[in-house]
Amino acid sequence: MPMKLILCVDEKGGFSFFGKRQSRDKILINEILKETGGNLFIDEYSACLFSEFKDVKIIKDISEAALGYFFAEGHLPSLDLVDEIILYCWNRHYPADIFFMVDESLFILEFEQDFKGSSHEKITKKIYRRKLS
Amino acid sequence: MKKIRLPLVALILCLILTLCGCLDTADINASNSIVSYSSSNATTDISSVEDEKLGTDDNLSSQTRPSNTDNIPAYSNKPYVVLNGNKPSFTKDMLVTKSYESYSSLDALNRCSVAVACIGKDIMPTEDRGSIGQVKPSGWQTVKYDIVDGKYLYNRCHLIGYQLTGENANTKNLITGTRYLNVEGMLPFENMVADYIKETDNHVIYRITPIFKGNNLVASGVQMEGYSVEDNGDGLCFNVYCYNVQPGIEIDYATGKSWLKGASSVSSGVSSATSSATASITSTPSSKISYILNTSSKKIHYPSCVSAKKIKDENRGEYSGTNLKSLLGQGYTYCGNCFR
Repeated sequence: MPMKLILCVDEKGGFSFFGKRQSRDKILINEILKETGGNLFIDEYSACLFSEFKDVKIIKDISEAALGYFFAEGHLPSLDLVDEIILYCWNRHYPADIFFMVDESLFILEFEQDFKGSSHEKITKKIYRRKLS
Repeated sequence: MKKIRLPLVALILCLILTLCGCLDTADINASNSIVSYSSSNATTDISSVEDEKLGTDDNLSSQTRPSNTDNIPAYSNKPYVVLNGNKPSFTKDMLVTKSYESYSSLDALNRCSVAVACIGKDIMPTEDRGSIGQVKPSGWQTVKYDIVDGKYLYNRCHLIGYQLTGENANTKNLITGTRYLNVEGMLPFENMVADYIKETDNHVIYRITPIFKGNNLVASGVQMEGYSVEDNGDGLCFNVYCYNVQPGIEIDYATGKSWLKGASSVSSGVSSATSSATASITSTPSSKISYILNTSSKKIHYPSCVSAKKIKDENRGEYSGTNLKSLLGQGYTYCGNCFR
């Protein structure tokens, strides 16, 4: 299970509303590109955020992202294939009908850092790694 | 800050484009089809006399009216519900890319009505919001409760949020809304719209409609619709109803008076828009109310609560009064069932 999953959530754990992202931020996109080092996979819905970056691969099935980073928006994938979660917290409140909370019995927080986005005063980056069984 | 209140130029441009067939190429795709749109209607509407009034303060045309809101479900612990499959009912000719904002005149009861805007970066505020305390929307009462975040039950709720169009103390844009409506219902959508515009430089057609039943002075709720124009709704597309309620508190929507759920007396706040100009009187509900305490779980219950009746005698306590803050200071929390 070598996949690394990238997600954004709001201050209440909200992930998406009616299949759409809650927010976006140009600086966050650059941060994701820097973090993933050219090994980023996305689905068609996220393509508009990365139109200027040719190295980003658009896939139809999350299994194609094995050994890489998958940036999920709109719909949550299964965590079965995931060994690391990179969570970006917006620190604002948005509409949500799908929520995401890290199961801390399975994943451990290893890194946390705040940074300023282009339209967000503060975005918090958290990295969780799957616990060894 | 540049504001265009009368989008006449936009409408004329839109009419020309429509007659030339240009808008057809920007048709809304099937998955995001807008319910009330039809091509012939759009052309008819835009050349009608009614449309000439669009954007004036006194008359919002029929095309700016939202979809039917007769069948809204009762509040069930969620601050908003989706209407019409989350699809707004804008007509195609409303999907312009020139910023404007328009507010309805107050009715005979001093109540706000629909507000509509095409929001772009050019009309978003560049300064912090000023005071709006001088505005007393219909049904206004200044009343505080310990169980309300920030204590005050009512906020002066902007229909179109300040962060979107920079409207400050505009009486046509402010209603009496609960803290819950303001923060849990409307603010998340305003945040979503504001972020989208800032990040894309695109425009969002945005319509807010307060829903009043009969002659009530306080709205039962607010319909919020939004649609991102340049990307045909891919970025933003919503149609929701936000409830003007406050968990744990009952409201008389005819007058704005309120009381704690389970209590019999009403608040004595008397500062309202329909009364003569008097100084605001801040008051808390004056009657003493009894609560049942679980001294083991540290929960506060109403006497009528099912959970309260199951408390063992050795863990059962009572409190009579209105200063629940003292109990909270002792580590008590509200029962999730009776203080929803």
